[in-house]
Amino acid sequence: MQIRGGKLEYNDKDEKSKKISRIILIAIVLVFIAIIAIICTILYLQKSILRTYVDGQAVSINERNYPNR
Amino acid sequence: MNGIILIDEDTKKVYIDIKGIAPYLNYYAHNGEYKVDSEDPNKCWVECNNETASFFLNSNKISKVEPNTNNDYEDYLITEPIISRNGKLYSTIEGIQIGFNIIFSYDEQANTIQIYTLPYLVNSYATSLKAYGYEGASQSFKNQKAILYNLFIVKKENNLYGVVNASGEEVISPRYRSIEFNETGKEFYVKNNLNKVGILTQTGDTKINLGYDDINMIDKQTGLYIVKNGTKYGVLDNSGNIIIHLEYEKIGIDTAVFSGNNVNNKYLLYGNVIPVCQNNKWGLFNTSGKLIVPVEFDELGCNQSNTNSNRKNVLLVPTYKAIVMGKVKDNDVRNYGIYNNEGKELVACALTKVYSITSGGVETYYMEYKGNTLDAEQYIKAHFPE
Repeated sequence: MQIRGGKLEYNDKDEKSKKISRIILIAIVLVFIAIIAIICTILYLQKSILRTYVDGQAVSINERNYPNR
Repeated sequence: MNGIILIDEDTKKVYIDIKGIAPYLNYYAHNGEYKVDSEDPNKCWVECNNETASFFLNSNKISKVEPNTNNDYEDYLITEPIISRNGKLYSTIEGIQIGFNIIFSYDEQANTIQIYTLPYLVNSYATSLKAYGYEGASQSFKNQKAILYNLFIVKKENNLYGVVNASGEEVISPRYRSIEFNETGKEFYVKNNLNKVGILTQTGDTKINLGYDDINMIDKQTGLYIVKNGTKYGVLDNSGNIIIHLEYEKIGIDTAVFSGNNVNNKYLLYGNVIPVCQNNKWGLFNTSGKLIVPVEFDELGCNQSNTNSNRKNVLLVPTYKAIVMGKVKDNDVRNYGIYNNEGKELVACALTKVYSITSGGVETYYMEYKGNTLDAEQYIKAHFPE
């Protein structure tokens, strides 16, 4: 019984650590996805913001707009 | 929607707020038009030390002129007209480049706009011109503008001028006493050692031979030039052919006398009439070189209305594209007639006065005949109903 109990105890620990590993893995994947999303957002925003340079110097004129049609 | 730069999502066409962009390019911006004292919101003008540029709503024309001079406007035509959004006037890249003397490029992929002002370009090319073996570029503002078209008026150590392109290749060899860039025609007025002036194109070809004391463009649309030799003036076409022989002491009107007539080009009235003066007598040619009103008038316009401050001198009656001309009779009495821009007599030369009065923003033209005052436009309408 002790052995079985010990085995049982061992099996419980194994299941727990497996669960933790899975959670960590999922967390890592989620963080990775979030980082990718943030990078993509930054790149998208960078591209969508009109950058203007006068004589090589960046000037803040305004963001992109669209005329009424 | 209050942006200075607007980009159409579909066409990717760029529109720029004319007054909004001005401070970024070291220009001042105002409502109205440079030559007319008004705050008309449908017009605006910008200025730097050397030039003003006026923009007009729904117009494809930009009018530039040197400030504080009596020079005529130089008109530039652009493909897209000036538009209005939220009470602001916008122009395309083409118009902004002309008005502000800049190079403006929009990179759609990188979503980036690069603007280069004329002073920056002049400085940045100074070193490379020296490296090409020239003393430097011409310092006059007119000549600096050639840089915007990738051409440089350069000076050699012997004080002779030529033109090179951005790669340093000679377009016009440096052998001329002076060179002046005409931005309207994108061409060069060159003067040789004999002080004779001619016109060379931006590829270096001769457009008008170097045989004149002075040359000025009358109008880009008609492609005509006024030329001077000694004390005589004449008119040449775009290929150097004589349209009006060099026989006249004066060509064009004195715009200062007729400032209320809004004459934009002193050499050309209604786009097709050239006034000439020979032996103190005035006549009118058309742009084909045909004499449409004989050279026998003592006055161009009626300039004797100064006794009453409300009355303005009249040269033109715009509704009928008409021109007022006067004769001095034997007893020193002045009589005036009115002729249209085809030389047709609308009112015989028997009027004692022609003047205009502005009331409620409306200009009314009056003529006096035998003590009676008549509305000139109504009279012409009654006699020439077409």
